[in-house]
Amino acid sequence: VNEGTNNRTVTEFISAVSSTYQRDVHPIHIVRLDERTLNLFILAGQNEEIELEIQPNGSIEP
Amino acid sequence: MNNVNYAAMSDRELKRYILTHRDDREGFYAYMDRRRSRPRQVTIKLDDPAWQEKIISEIRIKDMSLVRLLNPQQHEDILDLGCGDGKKTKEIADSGARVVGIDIWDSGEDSCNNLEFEIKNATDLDYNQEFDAVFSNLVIHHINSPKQVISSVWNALKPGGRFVAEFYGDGTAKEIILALQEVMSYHNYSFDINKDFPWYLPTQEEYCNLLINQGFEGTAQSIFPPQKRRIVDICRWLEQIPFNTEKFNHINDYFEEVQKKVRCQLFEDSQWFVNYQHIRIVARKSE
Repeated sequence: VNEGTNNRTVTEFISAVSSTYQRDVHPIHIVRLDERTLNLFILAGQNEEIELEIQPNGSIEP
Repeated sequence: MNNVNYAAMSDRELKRYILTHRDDREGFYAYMDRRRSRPRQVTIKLDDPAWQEKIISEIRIKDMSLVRLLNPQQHEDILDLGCGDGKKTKEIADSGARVVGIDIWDSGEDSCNNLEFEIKNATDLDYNQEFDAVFSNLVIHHINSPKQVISSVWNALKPGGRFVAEFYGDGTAKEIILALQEVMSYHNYSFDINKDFPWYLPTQEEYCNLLINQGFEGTAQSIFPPQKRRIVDICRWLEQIPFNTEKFNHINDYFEEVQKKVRCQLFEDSQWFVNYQHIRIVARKSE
């Protein structure tokens, strides 16, 4: 994770994914930095439909 | 550089590719660039007081079937707006909820126990605060009077009730619609995409604004990557669209020309396909 990316955001996002449904499993497939934009890309979900980019300022782009 | 043709892959194929070729940085960049070329969604700011709710809502709305997103409960009354053959209506009824499926055609299914079917028009429902939820799967785009549909849904819902829907949005079949406009214009017809193509294909923002104007609150919405669907050919696909044949009396004669125009975009590996853009919304009627 690059220094600009807000670690609190990442931690809270992963916590949100994990706790969304107690009975469901939301696997996280990819957590990867786009070195060009310094956005962190996360691909998750049973059908790989959850996509989010965390920007260096901590905002999230679905 | 490698010789992989990322541009030839559909969004889903490219997503599968980056999952299975994790060391291919160019492939990853190609996917990220494609993400950025899609219609932009609202950015969730870190200082947003509803930050966690919005993230959770985003996760729920994308990763579940529409019926699971509806989450029907045993004691609830639910309206399935545009139930078609009643398949989803039955799936909802399996939860034990009382479900009423309406459509302008007979579903061919018999009403029984907690399941009822009625022939009604979605723009002219006579329900008054009877339902805990209104569900609609891939129907709303067929009805070119969205405000009336939203008003009917509003009246049918109890206070606090929810509206859960998926439909085709802006970008669906855009290549075909643009080509049709060009062909019709060439033949001296005035063909306005927004008025004369019978489907209602809003952007996510347009539809949410209509919901908010009606008084709905807490709308969550999600737009999916475009989905390619195989079809027989463009002519057959267009023949199923209910154009105003009084206004465009020879429109079917021009479908072949439309097909020729879009061939380079929509014909791959000896197969025709159409791009569909799905939008999901979840809105709540204020208490």
